[in-house]
Amino acid sequence: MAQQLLNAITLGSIYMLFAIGLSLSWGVLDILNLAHGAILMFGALAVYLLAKHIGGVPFAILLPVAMVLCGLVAVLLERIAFRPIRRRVVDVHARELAMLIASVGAGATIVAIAERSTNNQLASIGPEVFNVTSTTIFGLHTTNISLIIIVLAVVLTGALAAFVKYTRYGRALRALAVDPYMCGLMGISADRMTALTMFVSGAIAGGAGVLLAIEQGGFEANMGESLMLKAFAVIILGGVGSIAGAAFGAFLLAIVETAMVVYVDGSLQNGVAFVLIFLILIVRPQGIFARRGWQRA
Amino acid sequence: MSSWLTENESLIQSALVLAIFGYSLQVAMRAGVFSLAGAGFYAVGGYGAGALTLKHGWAPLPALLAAILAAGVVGLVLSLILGRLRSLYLAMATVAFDLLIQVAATQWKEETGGPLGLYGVPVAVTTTSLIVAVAIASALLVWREHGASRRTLEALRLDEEVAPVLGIDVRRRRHQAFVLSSMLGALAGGLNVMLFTTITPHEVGFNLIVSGLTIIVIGGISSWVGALVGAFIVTWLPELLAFSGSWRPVIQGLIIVFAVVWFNDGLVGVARRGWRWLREHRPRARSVVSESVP
Repeated sequence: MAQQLLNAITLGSIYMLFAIGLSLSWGVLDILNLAHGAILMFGALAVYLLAKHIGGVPFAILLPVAMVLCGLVAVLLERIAFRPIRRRVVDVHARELAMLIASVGAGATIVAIAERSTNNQLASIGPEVFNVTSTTIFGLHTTNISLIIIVLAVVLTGALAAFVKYTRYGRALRALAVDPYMCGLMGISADRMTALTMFVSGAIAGGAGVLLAIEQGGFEANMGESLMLKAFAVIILGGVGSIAGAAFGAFLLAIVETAMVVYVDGSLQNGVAFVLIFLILIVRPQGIFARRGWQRA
Repeated sequence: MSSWLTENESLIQSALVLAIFGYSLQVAMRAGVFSLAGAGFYAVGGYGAGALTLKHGWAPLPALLAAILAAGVVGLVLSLILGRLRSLYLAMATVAFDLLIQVAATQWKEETGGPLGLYGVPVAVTTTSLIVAVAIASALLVWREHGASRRTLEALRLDEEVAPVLGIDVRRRRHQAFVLSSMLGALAGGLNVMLFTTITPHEVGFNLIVSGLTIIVIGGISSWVGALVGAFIVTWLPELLAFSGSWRPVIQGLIIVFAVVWFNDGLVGVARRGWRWLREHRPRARSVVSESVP
């Protein structure tokens, strides 16, 4: 039982790292970034390629480098697609649609690059980068990478939550979620805050991608796709833009999924997210923690 | 000309199927329903028609009709569930639906053949019957976008709060659009499996959403013609980009981004703007008059 709970916590940590960025860019910027899964995969790809071409770089350097690269990819996406659309398209619905389509195109581009560099096959990040060993902690079996995932998830999420809540930048970010126009009048650069949000969301997703690829022993170009469904469920459970909500949703989803695999049937695991999304949408469409527009982010 | 037609018959067939799929997404969006469920219903139609003919020995036409009907019923239920959702929430929920259908297609092995998909579905659709199907679907859209019905859709799309003031039953109209979109999606999927004899989970996931949105963005959603134009371009894109070799998928993705940023209303929109520009710039006399005014 405790063993299963530990597995669920590892899974939930991955969900949390992935969903936070998606939730943040939606809550603050009104972008449903369907390229988020591709950015997660790009983190794994970056480590894979770096390790292949420049050997001998320690993991403690590779991980942050990959995270920064993913953050930059997200910023690039903002600069070449989202910002021009924001400038050109006035109608809110048309703008949301255009940004969604742009993110789909960008995601497809990133996945195509990955398919090309991995020859469409399962690529693995070898033991020379990170040697996965099993350990025992409080009598429970686990691996060193699982522990790193859990610790990093807690640290990064906590840091991000504190950043949004207590710093001047965080306050500006929350203001941006409420009224971008007013932000301009108050001297907040919407462009810079937007780029910052995209960078943070991309970097965290990239980190999650690296860790996930190591934990699973390899990655494919479309590894992010199935995670999108999970992230949707997490966001709907926790409420858009809420970091605490995303944490809650991620662990709830992971625990229910693990329970499903253990006690019912493994093939039902992927259906759980969907059922949760629909239950919440029917019963409580505003999410479990109801938040109004001005509370998003 | 006729030799070109026979050489490219399968491409033309794919383009026509994609056109119906494009209609499916467009019908919803033009009524202001931000739904991408068409991809999921394409799978429902494809697997439904395929499994009924292949595993249960149904005749092709009843199987296709049953699949479309089933999609319509599922569409109505889904529409009722998602009725309260708008904009990004609806887009997300419908993408979730598409992904779930893909998962179901992979795991319900008895009916769907699992990850390998269904293959060996009897060919039951000819190019002629396909053209008839596209013509009927196009006629339906033309009829829907004619006169008062057109204005109703525009009101729904542009301002949902004003629409009820004009006597439009918003909920019913949105359900209608959603169900019509589901059935068109299923029609496209069913026709596809009866033309090309196979369907796999890989075809109906995120890739299908990507092609659907490419059709929408290249053709434009300002008119139903956009889906038709977009479908043909999407189908021929791989050939047009053959020179780029292994970079082709990358370029295809970039084209979507470029098109959506710079040609937001698609080729149909560009053509319309060009036409308007020509009409405004032809008569010289008028420009002289306007210059003389201080």
